[in-house]
Amino acid sequence: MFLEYSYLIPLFPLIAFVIITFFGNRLSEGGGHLAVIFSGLSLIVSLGTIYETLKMKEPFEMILYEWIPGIEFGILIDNVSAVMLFVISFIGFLIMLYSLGYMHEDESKQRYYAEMSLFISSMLLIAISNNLLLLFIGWELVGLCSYLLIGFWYRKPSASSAAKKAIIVTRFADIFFALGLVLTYNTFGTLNILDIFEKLNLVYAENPGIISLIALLLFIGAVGKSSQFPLHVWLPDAMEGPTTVSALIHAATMVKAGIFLIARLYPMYLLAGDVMYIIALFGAITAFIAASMGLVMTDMKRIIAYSTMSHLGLMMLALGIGSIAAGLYHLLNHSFAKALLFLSAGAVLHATHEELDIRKHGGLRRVMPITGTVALIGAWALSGLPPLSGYWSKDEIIVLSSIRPELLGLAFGVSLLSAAYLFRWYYIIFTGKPGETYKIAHEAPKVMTIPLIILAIGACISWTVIFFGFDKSVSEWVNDYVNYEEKILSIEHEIEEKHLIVSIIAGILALISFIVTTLIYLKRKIRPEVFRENLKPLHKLFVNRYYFDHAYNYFAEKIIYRGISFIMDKIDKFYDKLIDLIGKVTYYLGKVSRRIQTGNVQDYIAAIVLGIIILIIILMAGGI
Amino acid sequence: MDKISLTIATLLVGSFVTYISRRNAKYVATVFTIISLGIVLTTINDIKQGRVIYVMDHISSGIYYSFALDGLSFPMLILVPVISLVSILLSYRQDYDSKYYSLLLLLQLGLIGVYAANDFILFYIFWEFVLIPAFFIILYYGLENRRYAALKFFIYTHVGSLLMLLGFILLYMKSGSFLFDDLKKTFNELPINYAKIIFTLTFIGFAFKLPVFPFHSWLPHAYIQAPTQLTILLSALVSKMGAYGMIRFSLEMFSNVLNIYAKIIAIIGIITIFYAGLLALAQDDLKALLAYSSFSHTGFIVVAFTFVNKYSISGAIFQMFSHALVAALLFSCLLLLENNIGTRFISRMGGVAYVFPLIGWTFVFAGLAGMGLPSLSSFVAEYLILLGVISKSYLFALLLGLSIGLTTGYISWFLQRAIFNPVREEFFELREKVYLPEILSIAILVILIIYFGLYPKDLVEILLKYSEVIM
Repeated sequence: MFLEYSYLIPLFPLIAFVIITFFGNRLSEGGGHLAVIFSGLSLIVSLGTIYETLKMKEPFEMILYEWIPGIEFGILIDNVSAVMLFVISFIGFLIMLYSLGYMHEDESKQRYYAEMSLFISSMLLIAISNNLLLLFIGWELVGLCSYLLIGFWYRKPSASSAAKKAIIVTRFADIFFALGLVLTYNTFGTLNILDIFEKLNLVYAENPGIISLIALLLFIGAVGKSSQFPLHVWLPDAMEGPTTVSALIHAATMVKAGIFLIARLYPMYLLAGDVMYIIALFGAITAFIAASMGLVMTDMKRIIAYSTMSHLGLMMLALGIGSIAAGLYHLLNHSFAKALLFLSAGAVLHATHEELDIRKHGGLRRVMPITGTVALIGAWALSGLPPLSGYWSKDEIIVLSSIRPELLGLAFGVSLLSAAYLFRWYYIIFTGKPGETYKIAHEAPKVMTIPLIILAIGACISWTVIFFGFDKSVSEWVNDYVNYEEKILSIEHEIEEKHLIVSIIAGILALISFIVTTLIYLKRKIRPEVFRENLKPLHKLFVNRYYFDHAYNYFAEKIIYRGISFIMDKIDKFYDKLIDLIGKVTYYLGKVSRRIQTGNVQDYIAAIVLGIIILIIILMAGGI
Repeated sequence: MDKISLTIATLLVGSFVTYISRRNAKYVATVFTIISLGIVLTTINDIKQGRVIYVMDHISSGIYYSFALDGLSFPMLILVPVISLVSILLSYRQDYDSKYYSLLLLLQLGLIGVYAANDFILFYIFWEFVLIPAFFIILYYGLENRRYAALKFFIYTHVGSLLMLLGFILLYMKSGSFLFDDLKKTFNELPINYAKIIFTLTFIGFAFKLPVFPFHSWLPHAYIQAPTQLTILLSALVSKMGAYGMIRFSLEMFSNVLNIYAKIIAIIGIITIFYAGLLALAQDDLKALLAYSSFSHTGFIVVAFTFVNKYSISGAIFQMFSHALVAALLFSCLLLLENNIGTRFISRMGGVAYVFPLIGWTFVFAGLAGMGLPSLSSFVAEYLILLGVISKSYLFALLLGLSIGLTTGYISWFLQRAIFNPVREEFFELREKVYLPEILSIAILVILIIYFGLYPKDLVEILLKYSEVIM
């Protein structure tokens, strides 16, 4: 009975958006309470829907209306959308609740709740749309909300600049998504996801190249959205927004849209083998460079942002290797742990006047016991140490990556680094000597700590979904369209003998980095400067973020903006003057010729004679 | 009397009544525009069946008094009174005299005639007629450089019109009739070289009007120096006459020659898009930025119609329609902002959204519409165009795609500097002043942009039907 009403899932937050936009200033908390209630309603419907979906074997599809002839918008819910739906509506609701505390003192609450509601609505739309075009609409709307919310404190130049960066980079990637979209319609004659799957084998038999091209184009869109190398530069800057925004949009949900897109179209990607390798490779590179940058940052939120990027890379890696189950499993686990980390960072920031520099904090666990504890759980879960959620899915991905040596190397690198940057973050902020902010810090209000505790429980237990057949339920459906089982078997066969040893090495690497980090930052046995001085060039490379930002800024500002466009402007002005010159010459000629018309008959006769003489000369010269 | 003649008669009477009503001119002009809107809206029922010919009287020697509507002319015809209404409502605040409103109604009259004419002489009369009120409005009500701009606008577009006229007279010499259907029939029987000359002359004529690179020098001057209420009409409706001409004649009638030149025209279109887009990036004058942006977006129409297939043609027309709404909204925001802060230079703005929230956030919305955000009307056009283009050329689809990136660049860069960023000191002393008619006109545009983004089916069906017929 819930499935028939599943269109209400995105509709509730949308209604909240409309109401808050127009009447939010007259509502309590700038519409905050309303936003929480509507996202709660949406959560109820989506939990019901998920329950019914899991019971059903077939995907549920419902057509709502025709957008243009040939494109019908509607709802498609199956197990893959259920995972996404759960993450969005559950974490979305918790973060809305948390916002009541976090945004209480902000003067633009109305705008905040309106934009957040619109975001949740469009994100839910992505999860349940039956049509790639409808998905793209949601995709661009979440991009819009991300733009508006990164620039939420737009009077700060850094915030408005970060917002611009995010929209330019992600929309640049979305161009390719749009091209992939029209190419899909051109090839398949439809954008309905299930219809595409039905025709997949037919098209593949005719023209396998086109499938790879479409897969690649859509993947570029995902690269932008999920902040993958080399379009990752916007995500760390996106931390300019409120921390709740970072938690919801730039950690738990929107950046997962790219992962979801590939999972959603997994049968198609399985047919595009070369693209799959690109996905895996770029995922692994992303995971590694992000972890290395996270190691040297001093900004509390940026460290978590790099961690997000690194984990998104791992998810891409899993999908690229061929395991949709591992990718989605990590997506689920990561969402809880990462939202938890961000929100505990938010609690710290809330209590310390938004002090972002971790070096100014210290010993905060003593004044913020709940926040400190849940932050530890979050860091632990993501670091790849057993037994919390992150470990299980991460381990699975690292084992999978042993299929190729270059992927395995990068994955080991990630194992080594992630425990280090996470515990460095935790130790500096929450343990050790009291920092500058120690005196003003205080525990967060209940409305914030309760969501934190719920998320912490989630981060501890979400891995148990594996016992309820998670793997099977998210991967089995793929078999309806392409032969997936065989592929999985071949991967399993290939990694079989390496399985245990890879797993142990990864565990040891994580443990080493945990111990070293503990010795440096908790026990203070080793000075961190030792590393910084001995590995100077590496440190410089990491701190400068591999010079990506420099290169892009140089290109956008020096070459396009100050270069080409200014030169063009000069050329256009010159061209304009040139046109005027033609006018002026004509005018001048008119003036001159007016002077010739003297009115004297003698002058005219002289001119006629002169003309005749010239004519004769010309004719004679012509040889007549 | 048929509906089109009735509309024209209404506007003619309206223009006269407005002129003599002196103090109440703005209200009278509003009423007459609404009446003409009402009449025009009744054509919706006729158009569903396909092309309608409203009147066809032979005057003499192959000249007809004839009006017709089809999928190409209908969307623009509907927009004429809508955008005019917006422009009139936005003029309320300024104390323009009755002459101004009277000229606006005449401009509307000319536009209705252009989009509905079914005979070339009739078309040409209205085409030239549009120029006159536009010229006088720039000359009387424009900014500091208005004389120069008005003359440039007049001479430039007039040269274009003459080339077009020459082309059609050459065609008339063979056909003996100016009726569109007869012209089309004759054209297909012409020797190819003769046909090429006609095509080139007329196409350049339209290229002057749209404009297309390199015939664009009048555009920045006219758009900037005109009072912004007129700039709205220029960018939304007058420049579309060029696009209309290209589709009606270069595509519909001269399609056999278009195939020869399609590549070149498409390349010129791409150059136009990027050239204007890069110029927009360099501007500090917001009005110039919007002018170049509007110029750049019309390039989409040029590229699209050369890829003769049902999606690209429908996309081109949808782009005409949607761009009119979006450009009108962008210039409307500029007008409101200028009324409030007294400058149009980006370097003298900052934090507009904080002090002037309504204008600022509407500007953000308009900018997003300009970028082609899905769920807004401009995306539908982009989608259809890309769909049409990619079936024939990956390269052009990619180039069009990249131009959308460029648009995103200059719009978000301008939004950052003007609407966001720290608030300028002097703004703190100001209060946002937006009056009801202004809110109304903005609301009309915003609602239409959202409506046609979410539910474009009815319009797209009309356009697809038209494209299938002409192909």
